[in-house]
Amino acid sequence: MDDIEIMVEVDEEIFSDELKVMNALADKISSRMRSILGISAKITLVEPSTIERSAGKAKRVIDKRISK
Amino acid sequence: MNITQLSVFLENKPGRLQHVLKVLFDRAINIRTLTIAEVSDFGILRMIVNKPEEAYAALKAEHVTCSRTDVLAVALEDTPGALYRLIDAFSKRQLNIEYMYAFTDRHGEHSIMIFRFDDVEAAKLALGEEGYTIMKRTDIHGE
Repeated sequence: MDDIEIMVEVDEEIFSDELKVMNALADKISSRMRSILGISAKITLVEPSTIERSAGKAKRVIDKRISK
Repeated sequence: MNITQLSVFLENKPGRLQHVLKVLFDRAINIRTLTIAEVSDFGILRMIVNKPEEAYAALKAEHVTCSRTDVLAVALEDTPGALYRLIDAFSKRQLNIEYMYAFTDRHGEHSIMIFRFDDVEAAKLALGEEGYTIMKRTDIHGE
């Protein structure tokens, strides 16, 4: 089975100095993904500008599956 | 005024802490104490610096995710039981500590405890009633 990891950039608006709040944020996103889209995904909190930006077509999906 | 702690979001990757420290170094900002709380993917760097507002602005300008948090600093005798008695006072008043860390003062005579409470004002009141002295902003930041 394939796994999906979703990277979420943390800006000041959603940042908290408490770990429990940050963990709750990741859990909430994961729960919403499951209830709305029906997919189970690992939520990874990352620093701003981690997700690649591009002037042309945005590359927001990284497929690491090995094609057979 | 309360003590200002800077909290910084750091991914658990080589070079991330170094970047934050370089931003502070470039502006001659001195760190009085710091602690890092971490989980597998990221950490939260919490630190007390001598120029918190300047440090906050510099980190923001470098697109580092950070925030300012009010914390309390209390000087304790560096003797067995001093922390126990303080925590006991909080416990009796049902005051919950979100987190805490410590450092020693410049002369090494006292331990300085940094506390983060949900309710800072209630904690200040309790400390006053128990006879503890809350350290001033100038004592910690040196401004």
